Amino acid sequence: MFLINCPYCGERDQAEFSCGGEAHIARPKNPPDLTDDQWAEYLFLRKNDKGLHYERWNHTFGCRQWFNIARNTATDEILAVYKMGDKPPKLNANIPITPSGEPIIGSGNLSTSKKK
Amino acid sequence: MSLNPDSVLKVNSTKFNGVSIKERDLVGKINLRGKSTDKEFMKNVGSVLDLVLPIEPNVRVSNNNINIIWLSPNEWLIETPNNETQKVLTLLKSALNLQKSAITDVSFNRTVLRLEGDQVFTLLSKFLVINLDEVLKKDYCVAQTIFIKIPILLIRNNNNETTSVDIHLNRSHTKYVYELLIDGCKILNI
Repeated sequence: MFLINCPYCGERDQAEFSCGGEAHIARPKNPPDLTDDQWAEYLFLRKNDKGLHYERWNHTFGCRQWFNIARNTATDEILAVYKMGDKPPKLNANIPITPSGEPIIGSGNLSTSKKK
Repeated sequence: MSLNPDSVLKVNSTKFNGVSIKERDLVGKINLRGKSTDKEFMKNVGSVLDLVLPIEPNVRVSNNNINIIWLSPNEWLIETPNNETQKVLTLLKSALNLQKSAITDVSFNRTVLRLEGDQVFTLLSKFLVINLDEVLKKDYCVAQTIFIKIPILLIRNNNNETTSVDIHLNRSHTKYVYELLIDGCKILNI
């Protein structure tokens, strides 16, 4: 459980919110001009970063407003909350070094992902 | 088909360990949507209700018989006396541009439980995650949250003698919430 500071209502429990996925994905201006791969990339492919991640959230059981969050996905620390239409703040997220030495990108176990 | 406006609980005020719980009589409720940045909309609503729609979050404003509760930057709940709801609805519909606003009668959608007593916050904190001392610290403060998994609207009333809180909730969840509150009251002093 973590608390999210809704820009309208204030600090509330995460259970009141719904995550709307990655933020700042612009719809292509001319969809008919795109190839199937480009269209699929826009529709389906997301960054899935370990570390700083900009996300859209909705306060479903509160004011029902959408807003953006910058969250460190490695620690669940919320670094910034800002309204829709605002520019994303430039931030740095500290990524903890795990004892097992997992890579910075991705969270796979080294022992299984290493090529023998 | 009209819904039965009778109370859901069909019990009188209940008092456990100094906390009284009762279901309020039915009052008219109108859900109003429109842009708070639209000056014409704000002005027309103000002229009909004789009240300015609150822009400040989490508050309730009222005059003699009408309450306006902030729900979101573009949504409000208007409480009217039961016999005046239709009149207010008609006035709002004639004064507002219905392509830019939405007016819905939600009188029968929800019911209201009134909790009174010194330990109301202690009781509610058994079920809520929000910090009530912070969120409802002043009279007429409003908070929308979830009670276990049930969406509710909390309003702190002006009562100088003791703490008084109204819980707006879905009619079909009322008995469940009421029984949980009663159980919570029983272990208040343990």
